[in-house]
Amino acid sequence: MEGDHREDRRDVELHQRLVMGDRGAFEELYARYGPAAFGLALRVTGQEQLAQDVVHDSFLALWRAPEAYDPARGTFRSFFLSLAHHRAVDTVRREERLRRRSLKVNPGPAVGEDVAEGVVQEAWLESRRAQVLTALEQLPAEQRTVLEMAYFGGYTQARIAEELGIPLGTVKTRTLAAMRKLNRLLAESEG
Amino acid sequence: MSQEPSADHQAIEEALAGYALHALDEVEAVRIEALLGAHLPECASCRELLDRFQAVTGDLALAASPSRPPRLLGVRLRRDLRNHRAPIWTRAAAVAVVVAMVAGLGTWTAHLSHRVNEAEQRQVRTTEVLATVSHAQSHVVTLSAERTAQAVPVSLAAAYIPGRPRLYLFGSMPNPSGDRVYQVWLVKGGQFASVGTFLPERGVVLIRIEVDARRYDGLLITEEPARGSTSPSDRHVVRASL
Repeated sequence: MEGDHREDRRDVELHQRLVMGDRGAFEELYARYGPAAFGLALRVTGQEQLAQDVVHDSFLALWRAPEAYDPARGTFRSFFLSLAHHRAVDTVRREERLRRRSLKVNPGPAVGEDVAEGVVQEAWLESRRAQVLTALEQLPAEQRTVLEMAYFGGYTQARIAEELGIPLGTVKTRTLAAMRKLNRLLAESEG
Repeated sequence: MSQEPSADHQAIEEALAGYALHALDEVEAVRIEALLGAHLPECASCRELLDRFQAVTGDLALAASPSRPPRLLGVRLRRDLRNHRAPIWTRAAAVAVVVAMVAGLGTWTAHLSHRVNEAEQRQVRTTEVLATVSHAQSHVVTLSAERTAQAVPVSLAAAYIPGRPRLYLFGSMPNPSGDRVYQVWLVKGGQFASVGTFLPERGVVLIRIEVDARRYDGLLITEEPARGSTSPSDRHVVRASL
């Protein structure tokens, strides 16, 4: 959608300023992606302090190494949120003993959820979020399960196989099918 | 991509999906990176697929409910920003460059995390070089360009920790002309010892040399014929004093 593309271009502009050490650009990127990154980190780590550390470290990494983003390879949004996701998963694997799934502060599943906190996020991101949730809803349940365990649970594919009592090969096959379908659906919705 | 990929290709695509989701354990990641390292440079469709999968994983983040970060997090972050920007080739900047290299190659040389010249060791190597340049006692040395006529600028550095037998070269440089290769030489008392030859991977260099850098006076990189040379030619590219 044109609005999304406009926002993507805005991100590229901000990133170019960030490379030059522009604090204002950093502040704007923090305002744009802080809520999404913090929400993701809460979901993955299940602990507010860990989530704060993830967001802190992700933005600090961006500040220290803005060159890590290459606009030729995709949107800044994908780059940065992937960075935050990797850090969140690494954190939760490292701190697994601290997991308190019963006390999760940002529990899933997100599918079908209508979240009041969405007002803290900019409208164009909310629009994209709705598309992502719609795409997730269209996945077969068994595919969505392995995808969410990997992405939001921070589980490795081997661990997912153990937890679900299914062969590792099946986990891989379902994951690939889910990713292919999400790719297609999200590309269609993006126009 | 074909509608019905071969069994091998199916395995590659499954690996791409697992990698993009960051869902591989460490042992599996090393194996997969070697697999992808051998395949991706030859397969444009898989490179494209990995980019698309990585876009999906970025979008998936939005499925989590957004939540406003605590105000104190912003305070902490702004405070820490002041202490975390350094001029080029200081330790922090070297880390940044390595991270940038990693991200740049990650989407399609498979050695996702660490794009070295040896695919199967990529992740390990990047972790090593990051640890080296981050080390409080590390030395990071800029390699000065010898030839200014290069169309693409050379930006290389060497890093080592005194007393440890490992020297890392990292940064970016263009491919040599024709069928030539780059050759690395260590210099001691005016004598040149060849370390080996290499070609950048899509403009990126990340090499580990098993030497104690303190035993040498300097380092030289030259352009040489494809099989390398027994002594350095006059086609000097970069040099550094160690």
